[in-house]
Amino acid sequence: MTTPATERQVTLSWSLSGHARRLVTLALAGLAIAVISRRPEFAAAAAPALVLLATWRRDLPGQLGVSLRSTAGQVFEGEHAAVKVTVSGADRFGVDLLLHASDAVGVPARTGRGTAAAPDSGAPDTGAPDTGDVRSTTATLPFLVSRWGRRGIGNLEIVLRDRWRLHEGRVTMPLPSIDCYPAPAGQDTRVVLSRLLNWLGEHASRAQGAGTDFTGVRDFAPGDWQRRINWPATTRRGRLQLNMFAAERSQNVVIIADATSDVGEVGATALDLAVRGAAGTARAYLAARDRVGYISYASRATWIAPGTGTRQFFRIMNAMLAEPDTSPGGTSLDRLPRAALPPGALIIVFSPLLSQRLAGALRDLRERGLTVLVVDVLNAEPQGGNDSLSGLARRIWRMEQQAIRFSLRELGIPVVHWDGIQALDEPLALYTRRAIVSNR
Amino acid sequence: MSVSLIRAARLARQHPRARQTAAAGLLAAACVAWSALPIQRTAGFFAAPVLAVALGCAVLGTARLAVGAEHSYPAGYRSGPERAGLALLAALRAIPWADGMVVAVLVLEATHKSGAYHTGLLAVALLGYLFATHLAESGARPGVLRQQLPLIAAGLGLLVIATGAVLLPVPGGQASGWLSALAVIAAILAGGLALPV
Repeated sequence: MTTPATERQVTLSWSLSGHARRLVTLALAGLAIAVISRRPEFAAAAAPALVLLATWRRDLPGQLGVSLRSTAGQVFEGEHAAVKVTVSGADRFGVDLLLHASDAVGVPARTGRGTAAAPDSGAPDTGAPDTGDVRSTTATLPFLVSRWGRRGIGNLEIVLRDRWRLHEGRVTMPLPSIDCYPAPAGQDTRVVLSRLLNWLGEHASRAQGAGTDFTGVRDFAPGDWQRRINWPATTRRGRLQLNMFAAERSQNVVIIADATSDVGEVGATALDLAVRGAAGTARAYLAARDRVGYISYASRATWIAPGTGTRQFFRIMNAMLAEPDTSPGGTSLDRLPRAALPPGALIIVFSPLLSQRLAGALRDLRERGLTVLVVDVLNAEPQGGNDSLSGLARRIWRMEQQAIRFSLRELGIPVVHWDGIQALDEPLALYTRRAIVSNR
Repeated sequence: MSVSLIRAARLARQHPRARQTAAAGLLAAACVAWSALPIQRTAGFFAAPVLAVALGCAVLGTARLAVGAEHSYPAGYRSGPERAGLALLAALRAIPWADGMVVAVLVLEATHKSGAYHTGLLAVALLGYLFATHLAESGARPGVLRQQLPLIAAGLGLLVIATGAVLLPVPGGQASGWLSALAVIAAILAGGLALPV
């Protein structure tokens, strides 16, 4: 979906081009040496440069109309998008468009510049300029956002060159920002609770219903569907037998992304992995018609109540883009309303478990009877020297981390480790094969 | 040998900027070599440093074209050697090496006596070097110079006429050198201004 075009008038700053400056140097040096050394052949050497400089022009446009339009307002990490630039009022000039990308925005090789020639100056240089009418020039500059967040694309530099390439008019303008959603982690299987909501969904529940999973046979009773009669069982038992099926129900899933710490390599930090995992989980459960909610856990918790559908997915994505407060500490989950943490919900937490307050909050949730599952996204260790003291400190730190995970497991909170590369199905395999027993 | 040549030709086709930079470098080397010839003892001690300056400017000018003009480095902490490297790159981009080479080559040519045709050929090579530098710098195709061809031809024609005029015998005298130089300059200016651009 393209964004609406923004049009504006920009003021050009004209200067002598490098080419013109070098021609002036050649001409002046030739003439000066001719006069000083009394050798006229040096004046002859200056002749071509002087002739080229004789094409000097003064009617240079002061302003330029520029229209910017992005081919997408939102992208996922690693997805290509482009900025469409239309320059008007630059007829009789060659236009070069250079995209100076900001951090985390990449420009594919040889496409960081779009060049469009003036309509009367022959074929265009490079790229694929799309000249609209005679007085405007349009070019498309592709780019790629490599890391999630609300990001400025960068700056656009417009360079105008006259026919003789003696003058250069330059203007630099900021490009609009773009929302880059985290690339959802791959997940096909789902963790399902033993007790499901009484809402229509896609998970086979213990209750009998009109689903597709066969659960057994029983005696036929008046009013039952005749098409559900199991004829082989009827023949064996001598009485009419009816097939029974499991009801298909949905569940409430609340995803908690821990934003209290952002450690690790840029692009694969704990927060990066947490939001990518949360996005993949949200997509997987929403595809199964579950009601999915989201909590961003930081110094204050922001939440989205469980809901269904594609709109809920993008609501969660937009909540992730809100600037995360990675200051240490954390809030209590007790203060969250019932709508944010509904009873009987499956709670999936993506966290490096570096916050003691979050570990405490998870224990509280478990003690309240909620089913909690932790995906550990810690992929970094404290840096330090190679001396024995640093080694000892690292060992103590590792033992502390193991202790936190052990205490959670002892309370019945499964903790699985995810490296951010493999699909989430692999670490969760142990819990997706059968339903997890929930207390409520 | 042929395989490596084919590979080099393929690489040059894929990377026009590298081809233009290589062309500019070769033309710079040709200009310096041509202006240094013939090496005469009469050139004196002045020729050697000028030759060194011309060579240095030619090498650094080609390096400047090779590193390109864009300077978008990601922000963040940098070590001392990294900062020094970036400062060197910035200096390499900021200094007009091509201008320095043009001046040095002309001065080198003036340090020894050579025929007017020698200087004329040097002027043609210098003009080619300036255009190659401009194309490599701006990333434009040579096709953009198509419109300038009549003007370049006119300039080269004036160069040939002026060189031919220099070769004509003139009566000797104290002021004959000055007069002939000024006459050629006036003729070129008049010819340049008379061109219908």
